[in-house]
Amino acid sequence: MSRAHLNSGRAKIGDFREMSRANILSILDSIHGNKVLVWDECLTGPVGLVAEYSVLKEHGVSRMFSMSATGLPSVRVDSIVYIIRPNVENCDIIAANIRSEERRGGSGLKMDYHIIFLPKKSLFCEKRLKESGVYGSLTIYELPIYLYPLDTDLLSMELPDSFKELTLEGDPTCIQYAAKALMQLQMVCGIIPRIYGKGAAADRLFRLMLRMKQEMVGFESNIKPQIDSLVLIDRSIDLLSTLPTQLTYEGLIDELFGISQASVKVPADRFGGQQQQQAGDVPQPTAPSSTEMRQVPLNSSEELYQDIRWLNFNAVGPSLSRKARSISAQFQERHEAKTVREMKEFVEKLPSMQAAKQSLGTHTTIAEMVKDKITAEGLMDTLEVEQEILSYVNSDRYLDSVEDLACKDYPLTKLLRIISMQSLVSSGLKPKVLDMYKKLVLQAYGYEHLLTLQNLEKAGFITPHNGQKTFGTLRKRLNLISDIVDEQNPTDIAYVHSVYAPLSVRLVQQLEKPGWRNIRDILDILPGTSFEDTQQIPTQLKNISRPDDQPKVVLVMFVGGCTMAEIAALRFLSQQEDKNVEYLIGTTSIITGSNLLQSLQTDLQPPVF
Amino acid sequence: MNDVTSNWIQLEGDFYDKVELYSGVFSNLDDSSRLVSGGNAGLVLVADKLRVTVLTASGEQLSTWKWNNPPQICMGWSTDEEPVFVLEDGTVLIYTLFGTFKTSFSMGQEAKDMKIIAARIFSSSSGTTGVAVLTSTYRFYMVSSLQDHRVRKLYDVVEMKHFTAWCPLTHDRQNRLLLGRGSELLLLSHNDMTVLDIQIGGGLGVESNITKVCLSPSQSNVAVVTESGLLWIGSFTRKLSHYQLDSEVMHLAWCGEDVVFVSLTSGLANLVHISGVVEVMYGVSPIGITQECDGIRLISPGFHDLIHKVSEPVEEIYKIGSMSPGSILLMASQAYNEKSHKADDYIRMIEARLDQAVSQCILAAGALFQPSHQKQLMRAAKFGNSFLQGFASDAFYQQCQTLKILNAVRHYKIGMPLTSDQLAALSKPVLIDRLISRRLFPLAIAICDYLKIPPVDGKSRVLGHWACYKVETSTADEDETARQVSSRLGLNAEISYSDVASKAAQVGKKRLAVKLLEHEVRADKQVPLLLKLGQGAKALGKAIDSGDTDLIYHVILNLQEEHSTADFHMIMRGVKLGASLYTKYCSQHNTAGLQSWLQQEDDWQALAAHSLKESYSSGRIETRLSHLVTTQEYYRKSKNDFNLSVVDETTKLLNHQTKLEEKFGRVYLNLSLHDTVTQLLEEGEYKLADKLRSEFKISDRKYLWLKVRAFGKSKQWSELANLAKSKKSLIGFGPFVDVCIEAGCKDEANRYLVLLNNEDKLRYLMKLEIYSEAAELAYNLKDVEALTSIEVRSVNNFSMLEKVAGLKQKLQSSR
Repeated sequence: MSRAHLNSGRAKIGDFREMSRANILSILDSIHGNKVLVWDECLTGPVGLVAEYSVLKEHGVSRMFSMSATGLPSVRVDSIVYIIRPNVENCDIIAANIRSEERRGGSGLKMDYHIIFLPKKSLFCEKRLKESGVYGSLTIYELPIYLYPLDTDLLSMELPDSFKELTLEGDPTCIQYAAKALMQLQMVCGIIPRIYGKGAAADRLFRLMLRMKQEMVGFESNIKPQIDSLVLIDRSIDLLSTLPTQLTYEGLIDELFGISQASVKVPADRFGGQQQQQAGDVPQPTAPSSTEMRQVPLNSSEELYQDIRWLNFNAVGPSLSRKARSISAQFQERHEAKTVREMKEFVEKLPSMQAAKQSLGTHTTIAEMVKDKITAEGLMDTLEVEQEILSYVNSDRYLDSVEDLACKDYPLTKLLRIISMQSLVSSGLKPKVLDMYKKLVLQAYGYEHLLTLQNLEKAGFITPHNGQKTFGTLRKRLNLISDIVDEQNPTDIAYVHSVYAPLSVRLVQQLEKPGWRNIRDILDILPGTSFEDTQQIPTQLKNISRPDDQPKVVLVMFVGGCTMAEIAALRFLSQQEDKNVEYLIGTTSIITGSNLLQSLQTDLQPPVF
Repeated sequence: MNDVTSNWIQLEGDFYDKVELYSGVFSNLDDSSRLVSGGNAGLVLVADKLRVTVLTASGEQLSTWKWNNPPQICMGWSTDEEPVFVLEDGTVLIYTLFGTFKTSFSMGQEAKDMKIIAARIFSSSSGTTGVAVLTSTYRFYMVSSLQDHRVRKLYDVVEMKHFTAWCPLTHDRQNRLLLGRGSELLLLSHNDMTVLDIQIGGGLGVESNITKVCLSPSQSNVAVVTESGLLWIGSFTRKLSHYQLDSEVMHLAWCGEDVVFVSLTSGLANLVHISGVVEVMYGVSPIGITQECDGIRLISPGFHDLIHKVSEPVEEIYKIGSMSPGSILLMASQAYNEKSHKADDYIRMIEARLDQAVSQCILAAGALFQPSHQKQLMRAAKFGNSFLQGFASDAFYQQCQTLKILNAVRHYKIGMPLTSDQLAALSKPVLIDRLISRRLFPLAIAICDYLKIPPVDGKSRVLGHWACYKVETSTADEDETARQVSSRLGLNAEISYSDVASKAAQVGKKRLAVKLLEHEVRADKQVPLLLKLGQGAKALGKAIDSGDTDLIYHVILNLQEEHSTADFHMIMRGVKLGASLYTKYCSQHNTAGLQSWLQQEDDWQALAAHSLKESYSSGRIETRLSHLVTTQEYYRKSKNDFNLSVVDETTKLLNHQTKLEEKFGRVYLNLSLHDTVTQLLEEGEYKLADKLRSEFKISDRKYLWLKVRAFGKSKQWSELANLAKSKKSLIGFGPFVDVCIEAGCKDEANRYLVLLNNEDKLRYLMKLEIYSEAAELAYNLKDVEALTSIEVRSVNNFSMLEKVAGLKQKLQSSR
């Protein structure tokens, strides 16, 4: 897949990717001979965004495997290269691998072992390796990739557990990584002059950035600033926006099928005769996963997808049929082409028309699958309950509709999503209602979910009433609920959930008008501090100012993840003609309400007797 | 003008100049001491049996120390300007230039056992400092770097003879030796020996042993002295000339590439040109001689002189009767200064070659030692340049810069008599390094600032070294020293405070080290050092400030190892982030540790969670129950009534399930309460289900749900119908229809349709695909949307389509 489109935005995301890519390739080149890569499974996808398998092959990688405690597959190579996140589990597996390999005597060939820590080395891990007695036979590298480019305007750190680590475990590793990521980004895209932030994690992140800047005195970026402002948003100031079902095309695909690294795996049988495109471009360390799945890339380099990804799903059908008409009209031109010249022009357009046709076919199929799944999963019922909760101001009663879902064996995570929504909308549930819901969950799904409920309380999703009416105020002041949403031609970001405008994006929107200073009271009722600051630009770069006719570029960084719906809302704002702001989005990971809540669950699996 | 040429010596076509660098120096050296002066105007090392002294080239003493070791076989300077000594047993000792012992290594077992008889310290092919030794068994050993001292044996020269003449040969990217064996020259590498195909003694008939051998700076020419006093000069392939000396040779060195300098015991010295021309010099009896890249330096009592070839521009300008453009420009400039009209005439003379004249003057200025001469020439260059438009401004500027530096370091207080070529060979950064190691910090900083070197490589680096020096040598109170250092360094990220602090720690000044570390901005450098200094709590604080969790873990585990559990817990308690990371670590890798920590903290809630997890991880029902008892206790202590009641229920349900399993021999364990009840209902055990229902207080509404779903699933249609008899259902009758559809019995579903209100009925009619009835109902409800969707779903049913169309029409017209 071509990544040329990454540099088409205002901030040169492509350059950033190039830097990461050069990094990994230079490490590989420094390791002699042919090598086998052994992956920490959670890294294959993300790193694949930066360096595809085909490129790795050119740099002496003969094969790739996933890391496994059961041992290394027997191979004859010069070097074994582990690529891992710096955690103890991984180190223990490597130690076990090496020891068993040594016992086995290997393949008779002396192999070198290397570990590439991503994104940074760890004293802790090195200590562990020393204790296991394998440190001496290892060469250690560091691959400082913190951000992965998913699209021209979207960067993800691919740390899906960051919210859990922050809120449940009090582990701020992701904040440090985020600070490094933003420092790195500024090396490539220039210093960002204005910084805003809201929430405790955002505040911490900002402080770490200041600290790192001090450490880096003398190594400042001398690139002309490409990004004008940075907004740091702590996920925990706006939990609610993760919960309502996302109703944009892309959001629904993520909710129903799961998008990872800007592509989705869907059952292949529905695609009929279309030939499989882009095989082998994505690293497939193991055997290609079940053959019936098909991987479809989802990014802005595909024109059609760019046009429909942000639409409310109800507007996707009409849009696709319009597109179909225009394509068939184009193909009709063939009959009107009379002269040789006209014919030639037509033939020249043919490849792009073919591509458009194929793209249309793909998305029509996916849209159908989405529709089928909506029916199959009873999503309409859920939406009804969701809207009931969102539209009521004082919906603090025990809802029979929730009980009905629980009694119908509705998936637990989704049920928790609804209860959490109700809790957040009513600023916490009355103790009696809270206990009733908890009992409902425990009796219907099993008492083993007690700790999960406790976790959700700790993370702020399902809490007892705190005596305030935060949501009521926010809803009124920030116009979070719109009863009339034009899904076909939206005028407000509320279209992404049909009724609800994500608070996080609303706050970002307020930054331009009326400015955060003028909504101080609103910011104050949200948890955590809010701040704004200015970073000095080196004097020699100061004079190069942005031409007035160009929109401002604002990077919104979510600490703890953001949803496709929020991304869609920001993209919607970028496209507004009267708005002169273009948004770039950074996030620790892309989440859905379900996988966010899932990450917070403590699974107690009673063993089978 | 005369004084430039006053010491010139003409040899063949070239001129050589003897420059007096410093006078009145080295006058108190006695005969018993040996003297080695480092290359590129380096320091002078003087040693006798008792003492070692380091002097600058201007004779200023830098340091002196007592020599407590056995006598040195050889001494010299490393490329980093450190004194290096080789002892008889092959031990190589390296000192700092202030006499602090740094490190030592051995040249191998054979050297140790058999002793060495000669050694050479040389600059290796890779620019590092090498050492080569000759053992008494006539084997050569070599290391190519003082840092990585792997000793390599050189090829054995089988026919042993006395080798007194040998020197390292380091070009062609390998380190070899050139040695004289008899009257042959050999090239020796570690795996090979080559006899050079040249005849020493060339034509004189007398073969005589080689006693001295010397390579020219570029290592392309060789000078050899034999027992019979023959000086033979040649390349590796042919003889260039020879000269019969009349007394024994003391020193032999190349002065540039074309001239060999020999000093003799007779007190005479000769300059022998490769063409064979000889100039005898009187009154030159040096005690130390250094071959530089562009000349030789001679140290004799009272004097330090340089003999070098007069550079071409200087010769062009100052040669008697010269009409070169540079020479005339110089005259023009002087005339101009004297306000003489001749200046104009001179300029006219060289108008066309003015650029050449300017270049000549600029270049010549760089080759002269006297500032007044330099000034004259630079002034002339500037004067000439004013007629040209900015022609040589860059070169002019560069030369000014270079001269300023050269003059500064040549000052006798500094004592580095560098020539331009030597400075170029040394490079400016290395010059600064040398100033730093001589502790000439202010001059080093001044040069850095003057050269506009970025602070990281320049001023800040020098200050860092200064701080290390200060820390090491200061005798003041540690707090005072810390204050002095930090007030000079400031809060500067470019200075590595941790380097300074580790120096302080090295010399045992712990408190100072800790103080200094306060200023380190990089936690990854600061924290490990604090740990090393035993400052655990402080290290933890700093690690936490850095936000680097890895660093925090590192500290925590270190603290855990070094403190008793109680002390460790005390430290952790004060630090929230530390505590939560420790908890996380323990819950993954050290459950015992976790429990003791939580108990210490009275964290009942977490303890309860922990034992609850244990309960679920056990396969035995008794263990599970006992863990639940513990859990209950903890919840009681934490006053969490709700969770307590949940665990009560859990226990109760487990007991029921166990009994049920015993009774029916079927699986009930691990089902949720709802599923247990449902399963009982499905199995027709209504009484048992009722019992559970009342014991667990399942509401009527929920129980109805469970019944409806259970009966539907197990197709107990009559039971389901009984439920519907009450005519009123808490959950409506939709679920009744749903379970029928799910069980695949649409017929059963029909009987509940009548119980639904119209809206629901329409929905279920559609679901059951009873479109005809649905259409009528939709018509009655005036639901156009429903009609449309019926239309869509019955595309192939024409009669239906007709009917719907008709109904739609009717609806629209009635509006």
